[in-house]
Amino acid sequence: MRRSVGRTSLARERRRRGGAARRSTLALALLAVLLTGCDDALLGITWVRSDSHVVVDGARQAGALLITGGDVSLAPGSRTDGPVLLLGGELTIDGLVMGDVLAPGGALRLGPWAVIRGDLGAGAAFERHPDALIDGEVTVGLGLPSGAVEPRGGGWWWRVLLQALATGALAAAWARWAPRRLAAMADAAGRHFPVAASLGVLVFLLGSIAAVIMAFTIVLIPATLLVLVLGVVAVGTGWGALGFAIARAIARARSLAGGPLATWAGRPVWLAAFGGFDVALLLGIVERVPWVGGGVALVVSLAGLGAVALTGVGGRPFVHAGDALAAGDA
Amino acid sequence: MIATSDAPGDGLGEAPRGATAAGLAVFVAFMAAGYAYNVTFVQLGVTDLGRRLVGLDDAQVAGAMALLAIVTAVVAIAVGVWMGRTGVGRDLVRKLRIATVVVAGQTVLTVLAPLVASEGAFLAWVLLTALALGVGVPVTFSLTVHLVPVRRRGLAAAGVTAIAYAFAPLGSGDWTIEPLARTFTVGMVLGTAALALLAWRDLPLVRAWSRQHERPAFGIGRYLRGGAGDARGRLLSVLALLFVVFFVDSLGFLRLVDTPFYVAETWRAAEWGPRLTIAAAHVVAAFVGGTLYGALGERALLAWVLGAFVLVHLGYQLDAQLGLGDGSALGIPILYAVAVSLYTVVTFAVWADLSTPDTIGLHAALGVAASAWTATFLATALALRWAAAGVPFERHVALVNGVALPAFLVLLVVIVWPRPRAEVAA
Repeated sequence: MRRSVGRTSLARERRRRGGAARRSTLALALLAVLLTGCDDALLGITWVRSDSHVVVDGARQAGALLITGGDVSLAPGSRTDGPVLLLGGELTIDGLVMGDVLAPGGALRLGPWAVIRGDLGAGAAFERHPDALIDGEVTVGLGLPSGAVEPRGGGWWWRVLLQALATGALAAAWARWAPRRLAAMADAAGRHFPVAASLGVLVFLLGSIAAVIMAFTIVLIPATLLVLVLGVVAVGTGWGALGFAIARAIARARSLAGGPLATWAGRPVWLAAFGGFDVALLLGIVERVPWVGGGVALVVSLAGLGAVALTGVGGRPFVHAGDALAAGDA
Repeated sequence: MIATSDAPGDGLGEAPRGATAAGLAVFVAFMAAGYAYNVTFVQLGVTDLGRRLVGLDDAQVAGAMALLAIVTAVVAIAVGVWMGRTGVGRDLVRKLRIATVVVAGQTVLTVLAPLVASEGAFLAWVLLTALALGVGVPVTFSLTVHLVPVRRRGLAAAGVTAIAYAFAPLGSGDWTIEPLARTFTVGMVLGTAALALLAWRDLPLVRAWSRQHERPAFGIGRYLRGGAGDARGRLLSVLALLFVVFFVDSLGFLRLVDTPFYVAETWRAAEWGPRLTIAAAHVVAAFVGGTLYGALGERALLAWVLGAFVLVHLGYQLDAQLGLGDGSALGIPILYAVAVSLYTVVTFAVWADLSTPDTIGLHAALGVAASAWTATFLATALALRWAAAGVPFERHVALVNGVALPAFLVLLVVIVWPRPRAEVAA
């Protein structure tokens, strides 16, 4: 009797938490969507997209300054409070900037009266007058990372090895502290690979575009970074889940057949660690195979990502809608 | 050698080997050709016909498109009701014969299209096209219950979508009425002959297909199985959601097509590379959509479809406002192709899965004509109106997002809203 009361209250608690999670999700989504439609002035940002603009002597430019086109001049004697982000167009600084200046795109020129109190990061198109003062750190040569850059010699081996170790550790952590979640993700990835890979395609594409859109709202840059970190963890978790599914299947088969690996079937943490390690290692090697290697690694990664999404990070088992239909038809 | 194709021992006799596979192939080929005709020839060709050959202004062409939408919807619903009441929805041979007559009529209209030169002739052409579409839509969609088993509908819809969309960007890229008419006439003559063969020759395959709707594996839609709750409510909610998706798509795409910056080096690129990439994205996304259609519940599926659209349009708005790209970047066109393929897969499968053989005519009419066609043509008419009023591209895309974002929010609320217990069980 006591146990049944305990179960009921546990179920009620779960429902309460589920409701709170739903409401939080809805509120966050609402906030995110509304922010994307905000006028830039509401966000404390001045966004320059075209034409010529000058912050004249004695004028103060409050808030952040985002430049994606046109040309902007911060004249001697002017003051700009917030960070300055140059993505396109031209920017000439000859006044005081209290925050950081980041210019991965566009052309940046620092005149003799320029004073930057924060850090400066500039791309290739950068000119600096010798009298320009920068209090913070200066980084020149910013730009988008190039996929053509390859680690020299055997450097990639270390990257693959580290990747494999991290995946194995992540999978072992899931198996140790959330074994049911790992099992649900492994079932989805192993038994419903095409569905998981298909959903992985959508999660990857839409997640990427959502991250880019959020980054351009400036205020949601932290959310973009969070999405990127979560994305990496999700892919690692997916690899771990796939590895666990494979290792578990092998261990079960060995368990039936007997032999030295028979006892592994009862050790999910070890199975997850070795499975995750092996899958990440194999993918690291396979992706270097010309023509097909990258594609294979991509599809497997997408399936892992999809399995994480299909099960709500393992919170619920995935039930294929077609299975119910098949049972009905039979 | 005779073998059962599906569900042996159900008392419906034996079907020739491969009847199901042949049925799937015929359905995919027929629907893909029909969709390519409707989207490419009618939607894009009519605009060119009215503007360039007849010399109408944008507002007049918009009016003609609205007329086409309304007449198509009214005729389709009338035919759908008639099919349900008279039992034609269950009669494969009669449906094949009606489809043959419709395609033959459309072939004549296609041949005549470049000869239309006056406003009166243009309106008559639009009305006859609407009549043919209105009859054709419920008839062709209702073939699903004979030819495609419920479990394979996602795959079949993926095949239709992949073929229809791979064809469009790989074509000449010239969307004027003359080359479109020449291309489609050849295909439609062949299609009419093939349909006539199926409709009037007493073939064993057709005899087998004509009884397949009596099997639950074919005849009873996925969303009507196992006490799945309020069928009418489901139909209405899917209708409303797909109306929004079609409306948003057409409202946005029609303006994109008219914006050389966005199409000159992508959809209409002189080189094969960009067009091939977009076609490949359509094909991959179609099979992604087909796989997910059969695997996910309806709420999750619809959320992904609408979510994809909203994000793609936000992407275009961002690009337009920031002036980030040089017009040749394929990132957003590829995402657009993915979003379009996803919802197209859903529209090819979902009406049959909300129906029985008696209701499929009406439901397909409501879905395709009243929801999709009406939304498409009303959006086309509105896009032309805005173009005539001089609304800039940036503002146009922002207005599209004004429709898309609230719709997505409503859907989000629906998704997180607690479900009735019966629905959860289903």
